[in-house]
Amino acid sequence: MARMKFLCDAERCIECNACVTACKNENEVPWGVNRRRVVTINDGEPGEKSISVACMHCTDAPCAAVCPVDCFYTTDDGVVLHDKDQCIGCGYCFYACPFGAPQYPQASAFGVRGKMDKCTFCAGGPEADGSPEEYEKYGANRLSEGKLPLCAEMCSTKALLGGDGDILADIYRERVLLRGGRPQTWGWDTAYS
Amino acid sequence: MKLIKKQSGAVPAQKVDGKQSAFRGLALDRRAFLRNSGLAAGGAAIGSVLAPTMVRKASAATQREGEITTVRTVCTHCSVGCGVYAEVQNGVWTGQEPAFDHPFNLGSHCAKGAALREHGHGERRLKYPMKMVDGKWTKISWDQAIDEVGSEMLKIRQESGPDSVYWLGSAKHNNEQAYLFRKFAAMWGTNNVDHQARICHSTTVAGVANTWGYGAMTNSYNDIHNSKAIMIIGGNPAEAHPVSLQHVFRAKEKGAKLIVIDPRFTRTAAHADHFVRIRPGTDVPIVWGMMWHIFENGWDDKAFIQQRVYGMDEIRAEVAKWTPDEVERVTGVDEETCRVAAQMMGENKPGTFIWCMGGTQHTIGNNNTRAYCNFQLALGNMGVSGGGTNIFRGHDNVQGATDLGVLSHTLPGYYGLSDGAWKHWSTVWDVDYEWVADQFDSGSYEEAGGKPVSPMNTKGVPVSRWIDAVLEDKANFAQKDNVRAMVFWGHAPNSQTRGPEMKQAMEKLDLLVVVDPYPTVTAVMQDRTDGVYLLPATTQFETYGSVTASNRSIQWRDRVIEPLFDSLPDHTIMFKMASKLGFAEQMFKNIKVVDDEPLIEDVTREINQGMWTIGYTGQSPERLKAHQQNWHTFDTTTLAAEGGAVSGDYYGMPWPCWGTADMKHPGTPNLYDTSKPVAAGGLTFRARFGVERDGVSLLAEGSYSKGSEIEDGYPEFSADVLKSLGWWNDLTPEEQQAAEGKNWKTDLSGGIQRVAIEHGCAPFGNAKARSVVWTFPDPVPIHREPLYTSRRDLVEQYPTYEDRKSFYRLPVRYESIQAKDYSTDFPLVHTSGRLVEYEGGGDETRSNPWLAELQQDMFAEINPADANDAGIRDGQMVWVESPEGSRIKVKAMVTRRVAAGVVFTPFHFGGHFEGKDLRSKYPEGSDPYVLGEAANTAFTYGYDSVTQMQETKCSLCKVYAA
Amino acid sequence: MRQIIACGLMVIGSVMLSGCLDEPTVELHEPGEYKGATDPLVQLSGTSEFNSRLQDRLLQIQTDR
Repeated sequence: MARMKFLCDAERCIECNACVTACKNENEVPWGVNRRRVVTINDGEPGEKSISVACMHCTDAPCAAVCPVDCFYTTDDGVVLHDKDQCIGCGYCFYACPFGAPQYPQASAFGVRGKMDKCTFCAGGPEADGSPEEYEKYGANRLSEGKLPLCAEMCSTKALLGGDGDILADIYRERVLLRGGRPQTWGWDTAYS
Repeated sequence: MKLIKKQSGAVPAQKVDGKQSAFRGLALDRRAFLRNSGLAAGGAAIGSVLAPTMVRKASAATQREGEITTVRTVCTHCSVGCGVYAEVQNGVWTGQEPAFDHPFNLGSHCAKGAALREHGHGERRLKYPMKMVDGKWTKISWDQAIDEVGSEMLKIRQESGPDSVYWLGSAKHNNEQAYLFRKFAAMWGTNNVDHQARICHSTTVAGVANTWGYGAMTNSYNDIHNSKAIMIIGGNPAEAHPVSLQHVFRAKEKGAKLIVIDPRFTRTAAHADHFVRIRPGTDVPIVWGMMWHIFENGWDDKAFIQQRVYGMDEIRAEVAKWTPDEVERVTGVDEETCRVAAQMMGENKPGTFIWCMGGTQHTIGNNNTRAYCNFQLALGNMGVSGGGTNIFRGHDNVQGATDLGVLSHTLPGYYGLSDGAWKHWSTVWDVDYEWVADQFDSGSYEEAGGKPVSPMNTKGVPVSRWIDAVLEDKANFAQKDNVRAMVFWGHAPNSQTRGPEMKQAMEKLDLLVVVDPYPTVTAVMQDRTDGVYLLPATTQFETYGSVTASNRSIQWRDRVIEPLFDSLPDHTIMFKMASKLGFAEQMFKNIKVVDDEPLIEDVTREINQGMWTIGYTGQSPERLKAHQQNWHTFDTTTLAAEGGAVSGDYYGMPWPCWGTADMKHPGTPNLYDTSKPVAAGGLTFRARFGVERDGVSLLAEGSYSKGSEIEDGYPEFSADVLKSLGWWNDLTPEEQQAAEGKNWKTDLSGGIQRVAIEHGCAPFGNAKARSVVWTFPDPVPIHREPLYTSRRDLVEQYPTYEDRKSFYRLPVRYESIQAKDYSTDFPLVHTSGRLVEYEGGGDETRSNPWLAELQQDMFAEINPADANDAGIRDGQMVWVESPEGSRIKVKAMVTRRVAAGVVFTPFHFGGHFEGKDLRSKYPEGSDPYVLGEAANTAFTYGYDSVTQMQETKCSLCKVYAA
Repeated sequence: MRQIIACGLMVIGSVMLSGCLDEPTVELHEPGEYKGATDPLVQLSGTSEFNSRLQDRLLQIQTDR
């Protein structure tokens, strides 16, 4: 069975932020909420490396384990989703998440948190697939249309890959073989047990 | 919350099996991640940066009814030319899908391309024609706008002549609009017309065309797959052309060496095998320094040089002066670092050479570009797949706008401004040459050989100098009167240097007109209270036409949506304006006009009829549209269609696509490649500079394109050449009639080209490339220190030029500026460059919330040593001040990305001026989300000795706390 | 007085040390049961038709070709 994963190839990521704006474009994510972002280490110095990070859709997702209202569910192919009608915006999942993925739009003054928002692997939420209600709350549902997350599909250098983990591994293995280097499957050991 | 214990004891997440542990060091220190991500900055995970009017509801959600149509179009940001699938429902742009079958981008985009759909919102666009009345923006109708602007221009024309109106065009126009724009200026009667190419790659076009014939990228982004070594100098494609890196990485993964030469450790440099940090402005020394090692070690291609290069010995003599010690003294690069770079290129052939603005924007830009060419000639890397000079152009259609002559020194197709050129185009336009001549000022500003030269044949003022055309004392200005009206038709003023003087010039004008989808910085940087008009043009997504990518491929864009608000396509505005000014009848003689909108396809066909010099003749609208519908049939490395409707063609028929469309030439994927017949995209070096010099032949020796019936060099083709070769009767009788007395550039039947190619010959001849451009100020490229230099010790040995009295109608200062030592008070070198999220002056991209959110502050990169010397901390506001007294207030970013002694600023910001926020001066609702100081406000005087390119890559500054 | 100081030091010491206890075992918890609306995608995901469509798409778009 397919297991949906993200993989970011640090040798190819150039911090162009296409994944970030593709996500904004596809899901109309408001200003201030970033479901995906690019992290750079050793910025401006030899060894500079960039990685695009969003929800990794972990196996045994820690966010789901700490959620006090149990609003998370996982699809058969491993996409971790949540129900905003259940979410109370407590922020526990943010502290549990090893990737800092959960986001909270500012719902009102004084910093009161709104419902948690995160990458859905472009798979929407519990509402009818592709419905306006689903789009309003969660953004696009590309999976139901037979498409994969737009961030990966639009990556400038095909550094960010998203889809069936076995195929990602094949694509990646081929590159590593060509390069003769060692693998840089950032985050996989934490996300996928 | 039910806490169900999973298991006690072991911690499964901490598996340490060898396979993945190597990565742990980099990964998953969450605090480190938070710190890096910026999320922790506010102390909470709450997205707190709410823009004043932002957080739009998912408007597309309400549009999800109705049939979806998918439109094929092309990104309007950079010259890579990425394909786009735009999904439209009920006239609204609701979705953007990756054009995975497009041969250039394979569906990929950068931040800008992935945010294109925002153009369908256009929230911060200029929405209506506006006029400044008593210091207030007032909405007016199109009719009123055209009438008032036109009347004022006609009045200025009456008083000061047609040259007092300046037509500043744009690389954002499609080919058809660019062509019409140049034609418009010609029929208004002026050569005071120009566009951004002047300040981006003009030195490239001049340097490269004068070396081997054509001024363009020789190969393609895709062809980089075949490179064994890639050298990038003065370019940061990771930010400026991100999708190009996909092709670079494909080569790199197959083992190609990537070498980056730059003053900055750029995001591109971060991926290099070898990084060479030079002092800004020392391109010639580093290139000669590498060639010193190449000649020393015999890595040069002697057979290639003997057959196809003229004058390399003179280069050798100059290179010999650049010993490793001298190179280190001037550039700061030690012998070993320089040698390794040379060796990587010397031992890994074919290698490609990529350059951008870092090399071109200098007072000696034309020397730099010719040094690069010589480097590739010496290695024999020209005319081969995987080699070439892959010059990445900037804007999406800057190659096209250059080709179509939106320039003050030439008509479309690089025909120049001679009488012959005017007669050629008058014939194509189907108007009387005398009528065109009468449109110009009847006086004369220059003499040649003791005879007065008509303004028609005199180079106009380049865009880099329009300020001086307004401000210069009339006595020093070779024109009837100063420029009194400026038309910014798709141009950001903040992309140009000398901010305070520009402000002054804008205020001195009688009339200031902006035609643009956005108000631009022009609307706010001046303090005028009247005489300013803002006319809303559409983006390219609201119209259609062809666009030329950097690799010379011409692509067809379809219209995605109807014009937003009250905006009109540029060519419609041109028609309205031409009607008011009284030459619409001549200008649109053979172009159908419906509801004031000229038919794009008719314009394309007129382009096809006139552009013989560079082969824009075979790409008919029908062929271009067929290519657009068959993206998936083109190979992503060779760009050749394999099977399908356009089998055998190269994608977009990269120019030259010889002859008429009926000839079905496939286009030329790699210039000067003799391994293919000319009919199949092969080529020789152009015979452009005569056939001999000082008794030495300039024609190729024993080198010719595959299948050529002349197995040696030959001159360019003309009717006489055909006759002497006995090929004249290969022409049809009709062709003979048209070709009589003409040459391959002026024969409108295309017969001369057809026959030459049938015999396997290149219509433009087969010559050697010339290493030495004897018509330029420095025939052999040499190093000269910048006007504002911190290395006073080098000025005597490497001085700049003498001042000039009149060049492109204006005086130019060189040595009088360099004579003064500013380096004590202004010790830091100031250089500028790109950010991936923004483009050009940034009016468009800073108005796109998806992009603007990612770069909210204008900043200056400062090395920790310089920051500490100046008592500046990271994130603090500082002043960056130039020796000419202008200054900008920006955020300090303390980083080792720049070397000690160098300050870097990105040039996309605008809307602040010398510390003042100008947001309130924008027409309501049209202010970009992000404003900031324009880097160029603090850039100084300095212009290239051949093209008048502005110097933006080495000036001086001082930095102090604000 | 000394006793008081000693006592005080012990109290302070124990307070200071209280943060230093290192618990070698980490407790992990199973997520609770999701009780929200049923996502139709869950029914769809995992079916072979759904998967093969996505696999084709992945190979078509995200590879170097």
